[in-house]
Amino acid sequence: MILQDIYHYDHKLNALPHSVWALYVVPAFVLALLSHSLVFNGILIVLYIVLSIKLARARAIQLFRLYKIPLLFIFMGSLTVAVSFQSSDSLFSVKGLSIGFGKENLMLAVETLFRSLAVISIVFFALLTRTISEIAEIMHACYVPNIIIELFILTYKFISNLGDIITRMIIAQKSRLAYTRRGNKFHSLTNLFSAVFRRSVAKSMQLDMVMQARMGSGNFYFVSRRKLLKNRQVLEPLLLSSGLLMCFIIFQIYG
Amino acid sequence: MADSVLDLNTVWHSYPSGNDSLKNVNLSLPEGKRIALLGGNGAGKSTLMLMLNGLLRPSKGHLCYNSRRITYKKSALRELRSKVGFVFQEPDDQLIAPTVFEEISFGLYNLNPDKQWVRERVEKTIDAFCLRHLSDKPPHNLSAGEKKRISMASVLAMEPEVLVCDEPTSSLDPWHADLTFNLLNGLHQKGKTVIISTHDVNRAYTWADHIVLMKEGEVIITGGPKEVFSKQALIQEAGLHLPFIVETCYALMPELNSLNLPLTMEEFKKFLNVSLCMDS
Repeated sequence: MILQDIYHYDHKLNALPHSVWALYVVPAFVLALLSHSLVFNGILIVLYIVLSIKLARARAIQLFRLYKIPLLFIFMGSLTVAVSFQSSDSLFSVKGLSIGFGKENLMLAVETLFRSLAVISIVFFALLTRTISEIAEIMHACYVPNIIIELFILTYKFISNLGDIITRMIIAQKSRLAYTRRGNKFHSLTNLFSAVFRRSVAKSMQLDMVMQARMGSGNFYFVSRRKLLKNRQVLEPLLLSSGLLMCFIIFQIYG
Repeated sequence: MADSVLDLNTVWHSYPSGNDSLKNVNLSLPEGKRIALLGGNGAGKSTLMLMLNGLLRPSKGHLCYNSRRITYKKSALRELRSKVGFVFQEPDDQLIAPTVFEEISFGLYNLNPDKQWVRERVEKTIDAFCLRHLSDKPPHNLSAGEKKRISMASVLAMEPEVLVCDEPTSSLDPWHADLTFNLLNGLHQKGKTVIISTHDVNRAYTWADHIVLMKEGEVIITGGPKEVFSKQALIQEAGLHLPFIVETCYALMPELNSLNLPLTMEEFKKFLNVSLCMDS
């Protein structure tokens, strides 16, 4: 599942100017990176999942599917941090090599896990409340180097392109009895890879041509509707950011 | 004869595979007319159309816009593309933005980086194309007819002098096809040059002022619809059929002069009345 499939164009932050929207995202993001408190990061995870469901109108099951891939990587990363090869932490040994979990390592792993999940929850919330072109616009306004913006967009376009092509190719293959036997699975998969590669290249070229036809020079810039700032709109994100800042300070001082 | 807006002079084009998709094409496209490029599959219509917007460069020969030769420098291409709008056959290929509003803004923003100006022009286009209810929706989730309207709106917002449409009615039902042609007629009435490619001989016969018949990368005849469709052998050679009106007229009156062929359905009804009365 990719973000594009979940994105609701009528989400509740649609009319919010980018500057106010940033209040929902930037302070929380910075605090998540700075915080060492498990409880604070736990609050951030829950809060941003709830916000994604309430404000971005994503469904819980969709969010769960979305989290699956990053969760896998984070668990693997945390596990490597947690594992200790010192004999004092040994749980078991293989051919004289002690394997176990050190207390300090374990704490660091859990902290990393919570912090990463908090950051991911905030990023998902951001991506579910702003389109890719709007994020590019915001990055541009924040003087993010063009090369990074282009890379970000290219990655996004490539993933969405690839996902689209793979889905269609698999349907086309299955309609001709591919993947039905163990014997033809490998053959079907090889065909899929080569066909997807060829189609992706053709599709990228087509996209380039389409942009050139309207005087585009490879830049993925659009203009969105002006979002008018209302004082009332600022209140909620401001309260949220202030609340998070207070929590952060409390947990920093009192652990 | 009207002045030509686009001229192709001894143009050749080959794809990397070595196949010549255009062979020695000499063509003048008259200004302010409705022009239909006709031909079977692989006739070179799409290649020729891509060339008109500067998306493809001739292997040999050259293209002129308003009698000025296109140099294919960045600035020359920008100017050509601001004057010649191109609507792709498949709207799904053309629509790249997350919302309809942003889709229409794409070309305009490339034309002029003043965001206020872009927003005003987008709003105007949205109203002109009755897209207000769709403006914040993602184009990819809309129906084929709506997508086509948006892809045309996004090009026409740039107010080009010439509109090039590759198969404008492909994948459209008759109602949406009529809607698209009403739009093209509206542009023609404003003095714009409209160029389409099609296999639909009936539509081309009744709609176009000027027809270009192509076969295997070559232009085999150009002229008014009556003139072109009176050449039955050439039409067959291009792998096409005669339009229903022409075929019926020739069936009733084999010796009919091409100048007396009816062009519209009204003229055709009159023709039928006269010819059937004569028989009785």
